[in-house]
Amino acid sequence: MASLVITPRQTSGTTSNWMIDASLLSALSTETNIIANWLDELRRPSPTLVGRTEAPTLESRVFDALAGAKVLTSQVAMHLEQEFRNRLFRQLDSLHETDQWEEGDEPLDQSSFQTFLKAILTIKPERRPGLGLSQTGNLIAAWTTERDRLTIEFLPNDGVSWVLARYDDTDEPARYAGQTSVSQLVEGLAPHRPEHWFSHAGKNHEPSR
Amino acid sequence: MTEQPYREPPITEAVIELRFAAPLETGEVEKVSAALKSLYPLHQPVKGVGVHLDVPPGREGATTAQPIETHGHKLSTEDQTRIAVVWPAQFIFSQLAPYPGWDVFFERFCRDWALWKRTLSYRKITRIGVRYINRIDIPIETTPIIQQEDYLNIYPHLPPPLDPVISYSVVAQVMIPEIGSILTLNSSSAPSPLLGHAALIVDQDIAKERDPPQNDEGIYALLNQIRVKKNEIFEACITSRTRELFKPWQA
Amino acid sequence: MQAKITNLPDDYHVMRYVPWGKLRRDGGDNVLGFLGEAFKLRPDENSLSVNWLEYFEGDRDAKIQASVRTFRRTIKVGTKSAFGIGNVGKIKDVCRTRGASVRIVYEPIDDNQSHSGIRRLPRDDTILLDALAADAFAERIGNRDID
Repeated sequence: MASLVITPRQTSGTTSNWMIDASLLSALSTETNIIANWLDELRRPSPTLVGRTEAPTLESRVFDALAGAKVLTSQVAMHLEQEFRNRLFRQLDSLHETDQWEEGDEPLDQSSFQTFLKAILTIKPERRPGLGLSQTGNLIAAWTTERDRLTIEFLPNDGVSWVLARYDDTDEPARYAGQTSVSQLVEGLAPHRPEHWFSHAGKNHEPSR
Repeated sequence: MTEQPYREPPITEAVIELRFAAPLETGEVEKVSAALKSLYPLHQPVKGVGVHLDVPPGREGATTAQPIETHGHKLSTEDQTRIAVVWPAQFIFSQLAPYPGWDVFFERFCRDWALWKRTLSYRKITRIGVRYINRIDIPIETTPIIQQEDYLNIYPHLPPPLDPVISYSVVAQVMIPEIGSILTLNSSSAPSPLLGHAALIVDQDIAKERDPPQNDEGIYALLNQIRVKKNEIFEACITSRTRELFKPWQA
Repeated sequence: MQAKITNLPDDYHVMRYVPWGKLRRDGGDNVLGFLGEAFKLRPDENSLSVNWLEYFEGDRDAKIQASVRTFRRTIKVGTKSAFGIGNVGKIKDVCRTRGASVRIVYEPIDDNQSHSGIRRLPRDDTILLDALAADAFAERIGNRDID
C-alpha cells in the first residue's frame, strides 16, 4: 500500500519547514495536493517544463504540439526502430508547416497521438502510413494498396474510427467502417485482412469476410 | 559489441544535474543560454513555480505559504531527446529515450559543461546528481496480475490479506560510502504506454552533496563512478526474467 | 455571365480546396488523393464550400485556372495544397447511396461569385466522406500545377 510520509526539517530559526512526501495524494485536500506537487517538482532533478511565459500563438501551439509528440515518442522509443522514428518526425513536421495551415484547424492532439502510438506498437505495420490531421487535431493514418483504402482516425482517450474500401477486382468497392477502443482495433480489422495494407506482400485477393 | 548490454534498454530519461551555491543573475542565465543555443536548435523560456511553507511549531494554523517563481531556459534538439535546462541555481542535462549509451551521453555533458564554464567561469557546486529513470514494460498474458518479485528485487512486501495491490510506490535512501553519495531509489507501478502491458518503474537518483568536487577532473571522475554504481544497482534490482524483456545482445 | 440559378445541374462541376494536411499520401509523403476529412463540415458550417467551375469563361483548362486563382485571392492557399474536381451528378449519386439527399447550390459571395455549397451533407458519415474523397471528387489538381 502507498504511504504518506511527512518529514520535518529543523532550521536554525524558531519555525519548522515541512517537506511533504506523498506517494498517493488522494487522501489529502486539494490545497495540500497542490502544495505537495509544487514541492515535489522542486525536488526533482529532471528538467520540467512548467509553463510558457508568453501567450500562445499558432506557431507556439504548433511547436508545443510537435515537441509534445516527440517527447511522447521518446517514451516508447526503445520499442521503435530509429528509422521509423526519424521518418515519423519528418511526417509530423510536414503536417505542421504553418504556411500550409488551414485556418480553424488544431495542431496535433497529444491524446490522439498517444492512441496512435499504442496502435502502431501493437500492429507493427511493415508499410508506413501516410499521415493527415483532422480539424480537431486528431492524427489520421492512411494506407493505400492500388485502389483499396484503409483510413484510421486516432481519437483522444484510446478511441479509433476506421473506414476501408476494397474493390476486389470490381468497379464498386465494399466499404466498411467501425469505431472502437484502440485495444479492439486489431480484432475489428481482422475480418478485412488488414495485412493487405500493412504488409509489403501487396494486394491480397482474399475478399473481406 | 555495443557498450550497452541491451537492444531495448528501458531507460526513459537520464539526467545529470549540478547545483550551485549562489544563483546566477538573470543576465548570466541569459548569457549561458545564448551560448548553448549554438548547440541546440530549439529554445524556449521556462518558468518554475514552487512554494515555501513556514509552519510555526505549535501554531500550525498560522502556516504561511510563499510562492517562489524562477525563470530559466530549456534548449533541445529537434527530436526533443537531448535537452539542457539552465536555471539560476542549477544546470540540468537530460537525455530522453532512445538512450545512446554512457559514452555519448557523457561526452555531450562534457561539451556543454565546458561551454557553460567558458561563458560564466567558476561557480561553487553544492550538489552533483545523476538520475536514471527506467520503465519496464511487462506483457500481461493470461492473467491481469503480475508478481512484482518475478521482475524486481525491490517492491513492497505486504501480508497476504492485503495482496494483490492495485498500485504501489517504494522509496528508499541508501548511503554509498565508497563515493560519498546517497542513493534515492524509487520503484513504483505505472500505466504502460503499450497495449496489453503493465509497467514497473525503477528510478535511481545518486547524488553527492557533501564536498562535491569543484574541478572538471573531479566532476568527471565522480560521474563515471556514479555510472558504475548505478549499473550495479540496477542489475541488482531486476531479475533475469526482466533482462530478457530488454533483449540482451548475445555475447 | 450565367443566369441566376439555385441548384447546379448534374452535368456541371465543382472544385474543392484541399490543404496539405488533408491530402491522402503514402508513407513517403507522395500525394495519392484526398482524405475523407477534406469533405467534412466544420461545426459552424451548414454547407461545404466549393467553386462552381462552369461559372468561369473559356475552355476547361481556363476554367480550372480561373477557379484556382479565385481561391488564391479569397482564402489562404498553401503551396503544397491541391484541388478536387467533382461532377455534380456524381456527387449526388455517391451521397444518395448513403441515404443522403444533398443539394449543390449556387451561393455567390462578394469576393467569389463562383462560390457554391453542398447542403444537407451528413456530418459524421465516415463512409460517405471516404466515398466523396475517392469516387466523387475524382480529379485532382495540384496547386503547383497552376501558375
